[in-house]
Amino acid sequence: MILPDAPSVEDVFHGEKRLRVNWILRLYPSAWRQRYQEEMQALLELHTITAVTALDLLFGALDAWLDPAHRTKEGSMSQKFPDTLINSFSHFDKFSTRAKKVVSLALEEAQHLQHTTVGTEHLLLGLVREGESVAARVLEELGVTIEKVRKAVEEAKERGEGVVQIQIETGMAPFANKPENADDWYFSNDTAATENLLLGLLRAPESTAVQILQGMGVPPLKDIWRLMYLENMTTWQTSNQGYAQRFTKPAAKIEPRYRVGLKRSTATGSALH
Amino acid sequence: MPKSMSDLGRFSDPALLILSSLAGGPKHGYAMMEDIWQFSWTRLEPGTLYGALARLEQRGWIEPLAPLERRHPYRITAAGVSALQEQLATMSRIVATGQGRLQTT
Repeated sequence: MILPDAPSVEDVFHGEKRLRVNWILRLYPSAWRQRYQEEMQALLELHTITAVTALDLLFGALDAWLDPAHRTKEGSMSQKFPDTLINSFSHFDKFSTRAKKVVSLALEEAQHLQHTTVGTEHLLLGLVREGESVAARVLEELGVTIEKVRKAVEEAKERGEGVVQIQIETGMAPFANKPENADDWYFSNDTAATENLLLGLLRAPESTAVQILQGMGVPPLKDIWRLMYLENMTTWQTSNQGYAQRFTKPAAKIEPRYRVGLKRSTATGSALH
Repeated sequence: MPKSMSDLGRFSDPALLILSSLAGGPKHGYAMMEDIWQFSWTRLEPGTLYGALARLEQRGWIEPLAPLERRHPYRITAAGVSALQEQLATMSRIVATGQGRLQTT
């Protein structure tokens, strides 16, 4: 959170005799700012600013704080906008919560870059930004950072014609299908996880996302596949360790396969001491 | 019973102006301010405009379209149209009554 800078005397009296009011926008709740700040700034650039404008904005900031919709991030407009968009596509029914979040972030990225279609490059940005999923961690290990991808996306967009843009409806379709060379394991349930999103991206070699990844020297699909498997195993082991630590020492000595049923009694009391 | 415009308190007048402006087609914030100035000679300040815009958006009476450059254009929804119609009908009854009574006195 950036604290508002108090306006200096110079700000108020110089600069073509214009009152500088942008600092007031920093007094608005962050959820409000995420949604409206940019367009408000664009508007203020065109508006004749007077003392009334400044006062009105101060009231506006107070009003926004009093409005519960802007106080919490969850209830903010900026969250609602992509979510309603996502919910309107039935394709997303079978997406895991994280995968939905990735798509939501992808929409945000596309909006932020002022792109009118959501392409594979935005999904890649979403995957990297989500940060916690297996796919995100694999990308992180490969040195794919959000800054690098954003820069590459902006460069690719400037190039214009080489950009392959996939509309969100059609772009989502491949992720529901099993890649030919993939293990059944990931596709054994109905839900599309973030891993499926990444694999789906990589299956479209002509896509902007793959071109960006290749530009960063990311290995081909079969190696990413292996990395994801390893990452998943690590997650499984880590969570297993956490599970094991919940047992008292005597309980831990019991054969692992018998432990499951003992979980509650040993974790909460000392039944086996 | 749908919510009426007068529930918006001090934002009900700006809301009426915004809905009337958007009834003529989608506009972004600055275009709304200019349009409102032209048809009503009211200068809305940005803080008030966005206070009302946010409320109208929450109620689903207007909705943002895909941003153009930094700005979202907004458009009136079907619910917004019926809210506006209801409010304008009330106002025309007031106008007719007031004018009629002024003429008879």
